[in-house]
Amino acid sequence: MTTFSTSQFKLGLKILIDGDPYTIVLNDIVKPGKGQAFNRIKVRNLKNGRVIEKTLKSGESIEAADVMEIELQYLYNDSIDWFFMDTTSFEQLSAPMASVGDASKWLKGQEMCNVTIWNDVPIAVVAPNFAILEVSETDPGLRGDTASGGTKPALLETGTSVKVPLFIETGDLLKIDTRTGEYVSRSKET
Amino acid sequence: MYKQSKQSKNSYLRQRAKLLSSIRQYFNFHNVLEVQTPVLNEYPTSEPSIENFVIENAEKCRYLRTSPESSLKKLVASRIGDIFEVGPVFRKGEESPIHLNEFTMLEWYRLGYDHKKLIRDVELLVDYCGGRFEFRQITFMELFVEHVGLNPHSTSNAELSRAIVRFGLKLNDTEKEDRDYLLTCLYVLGVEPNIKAYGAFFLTDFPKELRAYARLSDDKYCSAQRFELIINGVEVANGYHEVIDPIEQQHCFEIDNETRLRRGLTATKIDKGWIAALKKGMPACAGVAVGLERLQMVLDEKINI
Repeated sequence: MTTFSTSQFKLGLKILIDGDPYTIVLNDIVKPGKGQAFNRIKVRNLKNGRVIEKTLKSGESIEAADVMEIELQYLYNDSIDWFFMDTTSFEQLSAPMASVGDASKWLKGQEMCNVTIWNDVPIAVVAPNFAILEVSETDPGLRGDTASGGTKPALLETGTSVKVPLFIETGDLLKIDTRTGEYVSRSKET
Repeated sequence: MYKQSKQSKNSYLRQRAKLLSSIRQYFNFHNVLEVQTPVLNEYPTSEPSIENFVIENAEKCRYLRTSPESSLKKLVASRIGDIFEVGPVFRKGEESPIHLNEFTMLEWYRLGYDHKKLIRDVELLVDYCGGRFEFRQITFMELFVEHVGLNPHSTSNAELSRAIVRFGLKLNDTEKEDRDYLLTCLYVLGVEPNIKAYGAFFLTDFPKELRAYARLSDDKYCSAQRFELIINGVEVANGYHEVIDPIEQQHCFEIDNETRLRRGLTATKIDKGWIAALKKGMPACAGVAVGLERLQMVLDEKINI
């Protein structure tokens, strides 16, 4: 079991708190008056993204979380598990839907995803920042209207609905920012 | 010194020079003598939570001072009058944006002052250095009751421990009986995260377990005549109405060593020169130490606002 002492704390260090893997996002030392030192840390839960604050006695040790972040290619899903492949070793890994989370909205196959692995199990998947996806259904476009600011919903090939400008038509390819879920532009390439 | 980008380093040094010049003008005006005392000392600090850098030389250990307190008190006992010193001090331990292993301390002593009069002196100095703060005074008890819901003077160790555990910190059996530690824990867990909202204030009337080398009052809690100046969440100064009775000071050192042993540290040899100085007849006085980089930091912020 690897442990880290508070003196080894740095941003990005992966530690285990109450059985969950966390990453350190802030590390402060509090040392009041003539008193002992404490480390006050902010940590992000790698499974659900929630940030919590924790105070530790300086010098205390905390268990390391065996966490890696690697690039894997998304292959397909069977609606229970999502399958990814390491493109150098061709080894395949499956991730439960809960770990894929919001990334599932943007994945159709072949994308290289940033996957967080904890004890050999994928616990979080981040889709590429931009996805190119086809519109499978939207209300007919208003001819010539390329400037007005109105929007309408469009259903994408992955089953996700996004707000798009009025001129978008079924069959168009769209560039979507997966971090915000917003339409960026029309795209010519897939 | 704070780590600075190259662009801001020059302006930082200019501000530092201006601050030092203001401090010297202030003390010159008030007839407080500037002194310089040794940086390398024969005795380590006895304070349980502060660690010296040790220098080995010719089979002897010497210690980089963690504060000029003992040298300055020996001078005060020699009847030199009011004195101040600005100089480097060294503390071993983890560094952070507001904790450096080497920093500059301004420490001064005023004869015939108590902690209340010294608080006024600190306010005047900070004003003179360009601070424009509205200073308040808040007792340790007021902050504790407000943010932890307990009386820091009278709540039992068992109840303090339970409160700490509720905050999510684990305690071992020794720690549960270490009142100084329990109060510090609750301060860090419950009080400290909220102090930024209080602006500039003097924290006063410390529980007697956190007295360090301050005199105790004869109020019902025997609270310590110690204060801290906290500005925008940063602890800038720490002062005492000083213990001048050699027997009481010896007792403080012995308590420090008991605390050290309880915490698994080694006891330190007691500075006999310090006790001897008090025995010669130490004049009643109050003294305070200011972290100069921190003072500059809060003054800069004030200027930038």
